[in-house]
Amino acid sequence: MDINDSFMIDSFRNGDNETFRYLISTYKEKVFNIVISIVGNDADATDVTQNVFVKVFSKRSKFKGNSSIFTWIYRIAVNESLNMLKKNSKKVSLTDEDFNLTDNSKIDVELIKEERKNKIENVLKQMPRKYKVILVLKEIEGLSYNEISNVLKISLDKVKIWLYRARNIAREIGAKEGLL
Amino acid sequence: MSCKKYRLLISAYIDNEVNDSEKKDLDVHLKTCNDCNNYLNDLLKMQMMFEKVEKKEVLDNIEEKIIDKIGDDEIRIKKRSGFLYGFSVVFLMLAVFVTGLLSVRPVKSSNVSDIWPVIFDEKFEEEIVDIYYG
Repeated sequence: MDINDSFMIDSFRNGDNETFRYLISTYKEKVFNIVISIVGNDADATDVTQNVFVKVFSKRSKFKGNSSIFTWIYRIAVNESLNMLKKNSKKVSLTDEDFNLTDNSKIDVELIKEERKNKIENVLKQMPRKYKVILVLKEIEGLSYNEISNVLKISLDKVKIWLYRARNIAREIGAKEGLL
Repeated sequence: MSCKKYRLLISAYIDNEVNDSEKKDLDVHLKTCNDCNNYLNDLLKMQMMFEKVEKKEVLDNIEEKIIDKIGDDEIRIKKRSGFLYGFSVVFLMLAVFVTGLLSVRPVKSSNVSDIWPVIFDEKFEEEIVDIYYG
Protein backbone atom coordinates (compact mmCIF):
# COMPACT_ATOMS: atom_id res chain seq x y z
CA MET A 1 0.00 0.00 0.00
CA ASP A 2 1.43 3.39 -0.96
CA ILE A 3 1.07 5.74 1.94
CA ASN A 4 0.25 8.69 -0.30
CA ASP A 5 -2.11 7.19 -2.82
CA SER A 6 -5.47 8.89 -3.09
CA PHE A 7 -7.41 5.81 -2.01
CA MET A 8 -5.47 5.61 1.22
CA ILE A 9 -5.74 9.33 1.89
CA ASP A 10 -9.51 9.14 1.36
CA SER A 11 -9.95 6.19 3.70
CA PHE A 12 -7.75 7.92 6.29
CA ARG A 13 -9.89 11.07 6.06
CA ASN A 14 -13.02 8.94 6.44
CA GLY A 15 -11.68 7.56 9.71
CA ASP A 16 -10.88 4.03 8.51
CA ASN A 17 -9.27 2.25 11.47
CA GLU A 18 -7.11 -0.08 9.39
CA THR A 19 -5.52 2.79 7.47
CA PHE A 20 -4.92 4.63 10.70
CA ARG A 21 -3.26 1.58 12.28
CA TYR A 22 -1.10 1.29 9.17
CA LEU A 23 -0.05 4.93 9.56
CA ILE A 24 0.86 4.34 13.20
CA SER A 25 2.92 1.26 12.45
CA THR A 26 4.71 3.02 9.57
CA TYR A 27 5.56 6.22 11.42
CA LYS A 28 5.64 5.42 15.14
CA GLU A 29 9.41 4.83 15.28
CA LYS A 30 10.25 7.89 13.21
CA VAL A 31 7.91 10.10 15.22
CA PHE A 32 9.24 8.74 18.52
CA ASN A 33 12.84 9.37 17.48
CA ILE A 34 12.20 12.95 16.38
CA VAL A 35 10.25 13.62 19.55
CA ILE A 36 12.83 12.10 21.90
CA SER A 37 15.62 14.07 20.23
CA ILE A 38 13.70 17.25 20.93
CA VAL A 39 12.15 16.61 24.36
CA GLY A 40 15.11 14.61 25.66
CA ASN A 41 13.52 11.82 27.73
CA ASP A 42 11.65 8.56 27.18
CA ALA A 43 8.59 9.24 29.32
CA ASP A 44 7.73 12.59 27.74
CA ALA A 45 8.58 11.25 24.28
CA THR A 46 6.12 8.36 24.74
CA ASP A 47 3.37 10.75 25.85
CA VAL A 48 4.06 13.16 23.01
CA THR A 49 4.16 10.33 20.44
CA GLN A 50 0.72 9.19 21.59
CA ASN A 51 -0.59 12.75 21.43
CA VAL A 52 0.80 13.18 17.93
CA PHE A 53 -1.21 10.23 16.61
CA VAL A 54 -4.33 11.22 18.56
CA LYS A 55 -4.04 14.63 16.89
CA VAL A 56 -3.39 13.04 13.49
CA PHE A 57 -6.66 11.12 13.93
CA SER A 58 -8.74 13.99 15.29
CA LYS A 59 -7.49 16.48 12.69
CA ARG A 60 -7.68 14.05 9.77
CA SER A 61 -10.39 16.07 8.02
CA LYS A 62 -8.04 19.08 7.99
CA PHE A 63 -5.40 17.19 6.02
CA LYS A 64 -5.79 18.71 2.56
CA GLY A 65 -3.30 16.49 0.79
CA ASN A 66 -1.23 19.46 -0.43
CA SER A 67 1.81 17.99 1.29
CA SER A 68 2.59 14.33 1.91
CA ILE A 69 1.12 12.62 4.97
CA PHE A 70 4.66 12.15 6.23
CA THR A 71 5.36 15.92 6.15
CA TRP A 72 2.06 16.60 7.89
CA ILE A 73 2.73 14.07 10.66
CA TYR A 74 6.28 15.38 11.15
CA ARG A 75 4.91 18.91 11.46
CA ILE A 76 2.50 17.78 14.18
CA ALA A 77 5.34 15.89 15.90
CA VAL A 78 7.56 18.98 15.93
CA ASN A 79 4.75 21.19 17.23
CA GLU A 80 3.77 18.76 19.97
CA SER A 81 7.42 18.36 21.03
CA LEU A 82 7.86 22.13 21.23
CA ASN A 83 4.69 22.36 23.34
CA MET A 84 6.11 19.76 25.72
CA LEU A 85 9.41 21.69 25.92
CA LYS A 86 7.48 24.85 26.76
CA LYS A 87 5.55 22.98 29.44
CA ASN A 88 8.74 21.47 30.86
CA SER A 89 10.64 24.75 30.87
CA LYS A 90 8.29 25.84 33.64
CA LYS A 91 9.38 22.96 35.86
CA VAL A 92 13.11 22.57 35.24
CA SER A 93 14.82 20.26 37.70
CA LEU A 94 18.03 18.30 37.74
CA THR A 95 17.68 14.55 37.35
CA ASP A 96 20.25 11.76 37.64
CA GLU A 97 20.64 11.91 33.87
CA ASP A 98 21.90 15.49 34.13
CA PHE A 99 24.82 14.27 36.23
CA ASN A 100 25.70 11.52 33.73
CA LEU A 101 25.59 8.81 36.38
CA THR A 102 27.12 5.63 34.98
CA ASP A 103 26.97 2.01 35.97
CA ASN A 104 30.41 0.69 37.06
CA SER A 105 29.71 -2.78 35.72
CA LYS A 106 29.70 -1.61 32.11
CA ILE A 107 32.74 -2.34 29.99
CA ASP A 108 34.90 0.49 28.65
CA VAL A 109 33.60 0.54 25.06
CA GLU A 110 30.05 0.79 26.28
CA LEU A 111 31.02 3.51 28.70
CA ILE A 112 32.70 5.53 25.97
CA LYS A 113 29.67 5.10 23.71
CA GLU A 114 27.33 6.09 26.48
CA GLU A 115 29.46 9.08 27.39
CA ARG A 116 29.48 10.28 23.81
CA LYS A 117 25.74 9.74 23.56
CA ASN A 118 25.23 11.78 26.72
CA LYS A 119 27.43 14.54 25.36
CA ILE A 120 25.44 14.67 22.12
CA GLU A 121 22.23 14.77 24.13
CA ASN A 122 23.73 17.58 26.20
CA VAL A 123 24.55 19.51 23.04
CA LEU A 124 20.94 19.22 21.91
CA LYS A 125 19.60 20.10 25.37
CA GLN A 126 21.53 23.35 25.40
CA MET A 127 20.44 24.50 21.96
CA PRO A 128 17.69 27.05 21.34
CA ARG A 129 14.47 25.26 20.32
CA LYS A 130 14.23 26.17 16.66
CA TYR A 131 17.87 25.31 15.97
CA LYS A 132 17.54 22.06 17.88
CA VAL A 133 14.52 21.08 15.79
CA ILE A 134 16.17 21.82 12.46
CA LEU A 135 19.34 19.99 13.47
CA VAL A 136 17.36 16.92 14.54
CA LEU A 137 15.38 16.89 11.29
CA LYS A 138 18.56 17.15 9.23
CA GLU A 139 21.25 15.27 11.12
CA ILE A 140 19.27 12.61 12.94
CA GLU A 141 16.26 12.12 10.68
CA GLY A 142 18.14 12.81 7.44
CA LEU A 143 15.41 14.95 5.87
CA SER A 144 16.26 16.92 2.72
CA TYR A 145 16.16 20.74 2.67
CA ASN A 146 12.91 20.51 0.73
CA GLU A 147 11.30 18.23 3.29
CA ILE A 148 12.46 20.44 6.18
CA SER A 149 11.07 23.47 4.38
CA ASN A 150 7.67 21.70 4.12
CA VAL A 151 7.65 20.43 7.70
CA LEU A 152 8.62 23.76 9.27
CA LYS A 153 6.83 25.88 6.65
CA ILE A 154 9.89 28.04 6.03
CA SER A 155 11.68 28.94 2.78
CA LEU A 156 14.64 26.97 1.47
CA ASP A 157 16.89 29.97 2.11
CA LYS A 158 15.75 30.02 5.71
CA VAL A 159 16.48 26.28 6.00
CA LYS A 160 20.06 26.97 4.85
CA ILE A 161 20.54 29.87 7.25
CA TRP A 162 18.97 28.17 10.27
CA LEU A 163 21.03 25.05 9.70
CA TYR A 164 24.19 27.11 9.40
CA ARG A 165 23.40 28.88 12.69
CA ALA A 166 22.36 25.61 14.36
CA ARG A 167 25.66 24.01 13.38
CA ASN A 168 27.63 26.99 14.67
CA ILE A 169 25.88 26.72 18.03
CA ALA A 170 26.29 22.92 18.13
CA ARG A 171 29.97 23.30 17.26
CA GLU A 172 30.49 25.78 20.06
CA ILE A 173 28.71 23.61 22.64
CA GLY A 174 30.34 20.46 21.24
CA ALA A 175 33.79 21.99 21.77
CA LYS A 176 32.91 22.79 25.40
CA GLU A 177 31.65 19.23 25.88
CA GLY A 178 34.92 17.87 24.49
CA LEU A 179 33.35 16.37 21.40
CA LEU A 180 35.65 18.18 18.96
CA MET B 1 33.63 36.83 -0.29
CA SER B 2 34.19 36.77 3.48
CA CYS B 3 34.84 33.59 5.50
CA LYS B 4 31.38 33.99 7.08
CA LYS B 5 29.73 33.65 3.68
CA TYR B 6 31.91 30.66 2.82
CA ARG B 7 30.88 29.01 6.08
CA LEU B 8 27.24 29.32 5.11
CA LEU B 9 28.23 27.56 1.89
CA ILE B 10 30.19 24.90 3.81
CA SER B 11 27.10 24.06 5.85
CA ALA B 12 25.10 23.58 2.64
CA TYR B 13 28.04 21.80 1.01
CA ILE B 14 28.12 18.96 3.54
CA ASP B 15 24.45 18.38 2.72
CA ASN B 16 25.10 18.42 -1.04
CA GLU B 17 22.94 21.52 -1.35
CA VAL B 18 25.30 23.77 -3.33
CA ASN B 19 25.37 24.31 -7.08
CA ASP B 20 28.43 23.76 -9.30
CA SER B 21 29.63 27.34 -9.28
CA GLU B 22 29.26 27.61 -5.48
CA LYS B 23 31.20 24.37 -5.11
CA LYS B 24 33.97 25.66 -7.38
CA ASP B 25 34.21 28.90 -5.41
CA LEU B 26 34.33 27.01 -2.15
CA ASP B 27 37.02 24.58 -3.35
CA VAL B 28 39.25 27.50 -4.30
CA HIS B 29 38.72 29.18 -0.94
CA LEU B 30 39.33 26.00 1.06
CA LYS B 31 42.74 25.60 -0.60
CA THR B 32 43.91 28.78 1.04
CA CYS B 33 41.91 29.12 4.26
CA ASN B 34 42.88 26.98 7.25
CA ASP B 35 40.12 28.32 9.47
CA CYS B 36 37.43 27.32 7.01
CA ASN B 37 39.08 23.92 6.59
CA ASN B 38 38.91 23.45 10.36
CA TYR B 39 35.29 24.57 10.29
CA LEU B 40 34.49 22.02 7.57
CA ASN B 41 36.20 19.24 9.58
CA ASP B 42 34.29 20.17 12.74
CA LEU B 43 30.96 20.10 10.92
CA LEU B 44 31.77 16.72 9.39
CA LYS B 45 32.77 15.35 12.81
CA MET B 46 29.54 16.60 14.34
CA GLN B 47 27.57 15.16 11.45
CA MET B 48 29.16 11.74 11.97
CA MET B 49 28.40 11.85 15.67
CA PHE B 50 24.77 12.68 15.07
CA GLU B 51 24.54 9.88 12.50
CA LYS B 52 25.75 7.44 15.12
CA VAL B 53 22.97 8.34 17.52
CA GLU B 54 21.17 5.06 17.97
CA LYS B 55 17.51 4.98 17.07
CA LYS B 56 15.37 4.20 20.06
CA GLU B 57 12.52 1.77 19.97
CA VAL B 58 9.10 2.95 20.85
CA LEU B 59 6.93 0.97 23.32
CA ASP B 60 5.49 -2.20 21.78
CA ASN B 61 1.94 -1.48 22.84
CA ILE B 62 1.88 2.15 21.78
CA GLU B 63 -0.67 1.43 19.03
CA GLU B 64 -3.16 0.10 21.55
CA LYS B 65 -2.51 3.03 23.88
CA ILE B 66 -3.18 5.47 21.04
CA ILE B 67 -6.39 3.70 20.04
CA ASP B 68 -7.50 3.64 23.71
CA LYS B 69 -6.72 7.32 24.05
CA ILE B 70 -8.73 8.16 20.93
CA GLY B 71 -11.61 6.08 22.33
CA ASP B 72 -11.44 7.97 25.64
CA ASP B 73 -11.27 11.30 23.83
CA GLU B 74 -14.28 10.45 21.68
CA ILE B 75 -16.27 9.39 24.75
CA ARG B 76 -15.23 12.61 26.45
CA ILE B 77 -16.28 14.61 23.38
CA LYS B 78 -19.65 12.80 23.28
CA LYS B 79 -20.13 13.43 27.00
CA ARG B 80 -19.14 17.04 26.56
CA SER B 81 -21.51 17.49 23.61
CA GLY B 82 -24.30 15.79 25.62
CA PHE B 83 -23.66 18.19 28.46
CA LEU B 84 -23.54 21.11 26.03
CA TYR B 85 -26.85 20.01 24.49
CA GLY B 86 -28.50 19.82 27.93
CA PHE B 87 -27.00 23.12 28.93
CA SER B 88 -28.20 24.74 25.69
CA VAL B 89 -31.77 23.53 26.24
CA VAL B 90 -31.82 24.83 29.83
CA PHE B 91 -30.24 28.10 28.72
CA LEU B 92 -32.79 28.51 25.92
CA MET B 93 -35.66 27.86 28.30
CA LEU B 94 -34.21 30.35 30.77
CA ALA B 95 -33.77 32.91 28.00
CA VAL B 96 -37.41 32.54 26.93
CA PHE B 97 -38.52 32.84 30.54
CA VAL B 98 -36.39 35.91 31.23
CA THR B 99 -37.49 37.56 27.97
CA GLY B 100 -41.08 36.93 28.93
CA LEU B 101 -40.49 38.41 32.35
CA LEU B 102 -38.79 41.45 30.93
CA SER B 103 -41.68 42.12 28.61
CA VAL B 104 -44.07 42.41 31.59
CA ARG B 105 -41.67 43.73 34.24
CA PRO B 106 -42.34 47.31 35.36
CA VAL B 107 -39.45 49.66 34.77
CA LYS B 108 -38.77 52.67 36.97
CA SER B 109 -41.36 55.21 35.97
CA SER B 110 -43.68 57.58 37.69
CA ASN B 111 -46.56 56.61 35.47
CA VAL B 112 -47.17 52.90 35.04
CA SER B 113 -49.68 53.38 32.29
CA ASP B 114 -46.94 54.92 30.11
CA ILE B 115 -45.18 51.58 30.09
CA TRP B 116 -48.19 49.26 30.02
CA PRO B 117 -50.49 51.33 27.90
CA VAL B 118 -52.58 48.37 26.80
CA ILE B 119 -53.05 46.62 30.12
CA PHE B 120 -53.34 49.69 32.29
CA ASP B 121 -55.79 51.60 30.28
CA GLU B 122 -58.56 53.29 32.16
CA LYS B 123 -61.16 50.68 31.26
CA PHE B 124 -59.01 47.92 32.74
CA GLU B 125 -58.47 49.91 35.93
CA GLU B 126 -62.20 50.42 36.26
CA GLU B 127 -62.76 46.66 35.90
CA ILE B 128 -60.20 45.98 38.64
CA VAL B 129 -61.91 48.47 40.93
CA ASP B 130 -65.23 46.77 40.16
CA ILE B 131 -63.87 43.34 41.02
CA TYR B 132 -62.47 44.50 44.37
CA TYR B 133 -65.13 46.87 45.45
CA GLY B 134 -68.14 45.54 43.60
